[in-house]
Amino acid sequence: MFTDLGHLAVIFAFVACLYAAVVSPLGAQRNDDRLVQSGRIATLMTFPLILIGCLGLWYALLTHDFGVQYVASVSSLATPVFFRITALWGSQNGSILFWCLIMSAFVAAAMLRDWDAAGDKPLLPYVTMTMALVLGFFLFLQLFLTNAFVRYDFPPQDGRGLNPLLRHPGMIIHPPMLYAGYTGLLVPFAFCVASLITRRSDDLWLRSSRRWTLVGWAFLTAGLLLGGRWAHDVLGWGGYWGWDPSENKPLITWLIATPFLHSAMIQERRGMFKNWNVFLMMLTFASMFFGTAFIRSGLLTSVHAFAASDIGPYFMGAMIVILVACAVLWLTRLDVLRSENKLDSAFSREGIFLIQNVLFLSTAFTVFIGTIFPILSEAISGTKITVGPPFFDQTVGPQLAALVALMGVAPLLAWSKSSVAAVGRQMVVPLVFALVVVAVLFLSGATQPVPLLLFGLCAYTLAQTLMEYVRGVRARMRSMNESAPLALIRLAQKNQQRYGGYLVHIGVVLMAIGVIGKGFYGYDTITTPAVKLNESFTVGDYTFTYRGIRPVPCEFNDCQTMQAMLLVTSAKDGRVLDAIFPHRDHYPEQQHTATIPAISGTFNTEVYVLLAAWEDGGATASFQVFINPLINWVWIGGIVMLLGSIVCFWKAPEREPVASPAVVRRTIGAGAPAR
Amino acid sequence: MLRLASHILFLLHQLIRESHPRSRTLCFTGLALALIVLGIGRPTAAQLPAPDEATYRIAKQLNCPTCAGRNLADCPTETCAQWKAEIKAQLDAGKSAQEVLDYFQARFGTTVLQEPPKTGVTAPLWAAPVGAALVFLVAAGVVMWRTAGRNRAVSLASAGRSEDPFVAALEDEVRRDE
Repeated sequence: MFTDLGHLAVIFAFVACLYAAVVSPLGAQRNDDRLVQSGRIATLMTFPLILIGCLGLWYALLTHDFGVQYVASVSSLATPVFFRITALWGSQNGSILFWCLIMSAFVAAAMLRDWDAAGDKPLLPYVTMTMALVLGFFLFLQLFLTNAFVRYDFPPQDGRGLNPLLRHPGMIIHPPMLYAGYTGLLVPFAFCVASLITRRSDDLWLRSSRRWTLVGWAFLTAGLLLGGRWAHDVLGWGGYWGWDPSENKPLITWLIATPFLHSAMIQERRGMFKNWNVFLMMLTFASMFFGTAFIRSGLLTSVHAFAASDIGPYFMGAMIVILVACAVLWLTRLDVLRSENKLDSAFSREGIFLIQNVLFLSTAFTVFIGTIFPILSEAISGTKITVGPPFFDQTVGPQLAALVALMGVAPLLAWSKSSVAAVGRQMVVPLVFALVVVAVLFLSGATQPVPLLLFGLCAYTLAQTLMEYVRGVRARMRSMNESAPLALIRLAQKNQQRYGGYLVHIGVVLMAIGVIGKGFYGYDTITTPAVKLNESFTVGDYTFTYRGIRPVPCEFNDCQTMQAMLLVTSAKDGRVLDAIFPHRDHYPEQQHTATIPAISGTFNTEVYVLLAAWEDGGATASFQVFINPLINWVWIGGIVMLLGSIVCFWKAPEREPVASPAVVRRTIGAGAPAR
Repeated sequence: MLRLASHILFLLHQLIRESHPRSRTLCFTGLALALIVLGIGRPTAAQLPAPDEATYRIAKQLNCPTCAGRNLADCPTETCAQWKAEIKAQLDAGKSAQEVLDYFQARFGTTVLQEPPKTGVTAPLWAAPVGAALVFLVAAGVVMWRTAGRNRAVSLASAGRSEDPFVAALEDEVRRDE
């Protein structure tokens, strides 16, 4: 009953979207605010309506209503309550509904903002229209193609249970984060479209949607990180990243959204790159749509599933519509988007941002081409060529290294133009620091040239970024007579975006250290011939003694778990360090085997052990051992990145810096009649 | 890095086979030196690989036909076990790692390789990122050159005017924020 009510609510939400998409632009054309407000409220209402839909499905999941097909496919009588709640996004149909919920939450929040005070009311009708159309499309998919509310004629006794791979905290939070990241970026896109439709030449759309972009970006980053952590803990890859298509897609969006965040600053500051920002925003949105289309259509597991899937062609069709609409909108507004300023010098922050932008885009393109190459090659030559991690490591790696290097130079360059001598002076201290780090590493035995160079680069960029804080704090201490800690806090408060951004940079560098460590010094091995009971084997600095294998109770009673025990001792002095229990879970119902690693070692060197095989009831067993140096810095760097982005968007800057040329320009611009 | 090293070793190995005894000693010295350098570079990986370790190394470079998107070494299925046995048999028969990889490529096509070759059908794949990066950078360079050219004289003239323009500008900015 509740469930059917939920279904009805989702249908109403779809109707509301259609209504808003028609009524809002109509209101704008007739200059009738009542119609605009009506459209706004209709769009706003989608959130409570879709929430009722989700509650209905949750009710069915919690009450074991296996009459609902979706409930039977993702839960069983044995599934615990927690996983019955998260099963809402455990499979395609439910996850599209959940996607709609998150998207409508962002949409509702945008509709609730104080449009009069923000001074961007002219954009409202078209923001409403864009959001209603996009949300409406997803609701259309939900209702007509992947309906989560469809019932069986004859309900089964029990359901199939949740996909075992999804029973991990990382996987529970990962999809909502990623969805929030994707849908969060819908808000700036809607503002961008509205700005183009109304032929505005100012940066209102950027300023109005700035925090939304940052929030969306932070969620996307968190989603990527959690996905990596999940792969590390559950998939038994031995690492955090496998260049899997489902990982690459959000990464591509991230690689386009990140340069957008930077070049948006140029438009706000200098009124330049307007065209470029519109282009980047549209590309961000298109990549997000493409990624969703890709993952949702089943294109990633098999190329052939694409044609067979119901949902793929609709996504492709919608994407073509979006691309054409964006291109038309953009090309017919080129005259409005003319730059207000000329580039004074290539040796300026604008100049280096431009280089950073194109590098980011070429990195995104590299990931894109590597991801779709199997499909391309199949379409052209008939054979599906696999593109494995070595391709990405060799092509994406150098570009990311170049971006880290740019991070160490860009903050030094002033807007408009800089002198080489002044910038050179600022580089001395970090360069000396980097040389010392390289020397110490070399003397302690790390003599491979490439990682040494990369570590040196990281050290330089880290020192340079920290120096930014030192310089700022010193300047404040001198001019305001503040103590150092107070100066630091005030500094960050006064310019959250800059100093939050630098914190994100520090996070990136820390993460890069982990990536280099794992990439160049990490290695893995397998113990064959198999280890006999109570025998030992040594990998690196660690000796492992096999102490047997036994079946243990499975967490949710629907799998058979075999757990091995290994004693970890130091290979140098024989000290007992740890006991680890790698295990294998076999799920007969889903015909799935999960190899769950056991992790040991020190903070800086992770030892990651998988149970590869066993014979004769555990008389012998073989293990796959990964040594992952510095991998923990990937997670630490990720957390620092998120903290930095929180500093950026925590509270909007209450006032713009006074007397900056951009503000003067904006004030003049606001006085002029809008075209 | 490891792959590069193994390529070098393999080349050296080929040289040794077909060379004069005297140059052979030279090669051995070179090989020993290379080993020492690599050994210092990777202190913890210095153990000698067991025979099956070699199988594992090769399996790492192949795709598994039954586990989508994973390499052969990591895939636990029956088919993959047969492939691994095949690798081991060929290694035991005295084939080199490259010969085993070539065998699999010849039999199942390029798609079995984790790393697509840089020649042939997959050459465009490797060329695309390099090409894109170059084209983008050149385009950015042209944009900057065209717009910045006329202002160059001015920016050079004003350079180095103040004692430390960077710090001066930062202090200005901090004051302005207040």
